[in-house]
Amino acid sequence: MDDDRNGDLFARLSPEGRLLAPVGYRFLHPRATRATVLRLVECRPHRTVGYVCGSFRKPISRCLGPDDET
Amino acid sequence: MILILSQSSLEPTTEEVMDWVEALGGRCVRLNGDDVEGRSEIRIEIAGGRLALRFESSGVELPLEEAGAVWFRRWLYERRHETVDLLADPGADDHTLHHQLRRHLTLESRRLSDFIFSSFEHLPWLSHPRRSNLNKLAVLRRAAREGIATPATLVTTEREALRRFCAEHGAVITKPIGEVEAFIAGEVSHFLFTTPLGPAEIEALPERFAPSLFQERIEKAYELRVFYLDGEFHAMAIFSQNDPQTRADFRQYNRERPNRNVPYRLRPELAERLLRLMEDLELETGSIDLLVARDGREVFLEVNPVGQLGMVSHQCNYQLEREIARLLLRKEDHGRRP
Repeated sequence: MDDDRNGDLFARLSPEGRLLAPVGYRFLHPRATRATVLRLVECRPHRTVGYVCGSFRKPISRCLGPDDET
Repeated sequence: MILILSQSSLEPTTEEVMDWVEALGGRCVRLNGDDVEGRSEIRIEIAGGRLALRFESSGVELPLEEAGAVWFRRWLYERRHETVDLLADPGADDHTLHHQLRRHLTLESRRLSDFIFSSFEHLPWLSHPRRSNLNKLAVLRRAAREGIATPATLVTTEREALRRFCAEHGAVITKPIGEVEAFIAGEVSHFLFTTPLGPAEIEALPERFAPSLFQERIEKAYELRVFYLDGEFHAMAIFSQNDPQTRADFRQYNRERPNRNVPYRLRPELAERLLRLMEDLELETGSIDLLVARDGREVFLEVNPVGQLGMVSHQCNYQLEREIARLLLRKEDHGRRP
């Protein structure tokens, strides 16, 4: 049941939501939310903390630090 | 010093350009949109005609007053308040209140960002937030005016109008009028890709629906992703047509068996027209999507002023990150001259 629920987002919209959604919403492409790390970013720690990730949630950057002054 | 306005996630290009700026002898400071959204300490003081703009991150104050040029790469993927419940104990009738709170916080955040951008107006910029959100439909019109082939396009709320469009142009696709989005619901992400619509799917639509964009479906030989930088085009051909997974939209990546991508040289006549379009749009950078139809037509789809460039740069060995760093350093140098 959860699979069905997650697989068709349009079906989860309210009747009003369906009226307001463009046609493309009826043909969304479901895909497992990837937790795979796409690319490690190996930079100085003051500038980069973390990694780029498909989940859109991982922080990667920091700003200027002492190393940049040298 | 180059001031880079960017975002903290999904943005490896910024990191690579920063490395090149430093390798070429320059210095840069990076301010992310999400630093303004609470990751940095902010103090903006306006006293009379004087403005003090202070951002402090991990105890280090960003030396913004040393900036000699600005690169607007990106800014915010999402605002903090857009992802959290703002009401501690929302009642059944609180949907409107929650929406109003979010809308107001979004406007506050936009106004603050606009002011931060405006405080660097005296510097030379590469890309500018004012020109980062193009209207897809307006750009199509401008491209057509430059003599560039564009797909027949319909925006409608009526199934009957869509039927007539299909009768005239054949098969169609639908895609967002604005941005491609991924709706994340737990373990499943729902992507708004370009989607072909068959007759059965069109017949299953209600007579009236929300305004939606449709375009003629062009049988393509291959797709072109072109990165434009300061008067030059760096193009890559993507052979996405032979894989059912990527046929309608190459962004439905086949990671097991990736599309073949090769460097590509634009015909001079097409390049001239695209150049006029980019000048008309006042863009110095942009990721342009085109496709080459089986009948040889080169059809313009859209341009994203802050689009990804890594896939073109790395696979075609164009070193675009280095070229951007060089351009930024030239701008900084020009900005110093009286």
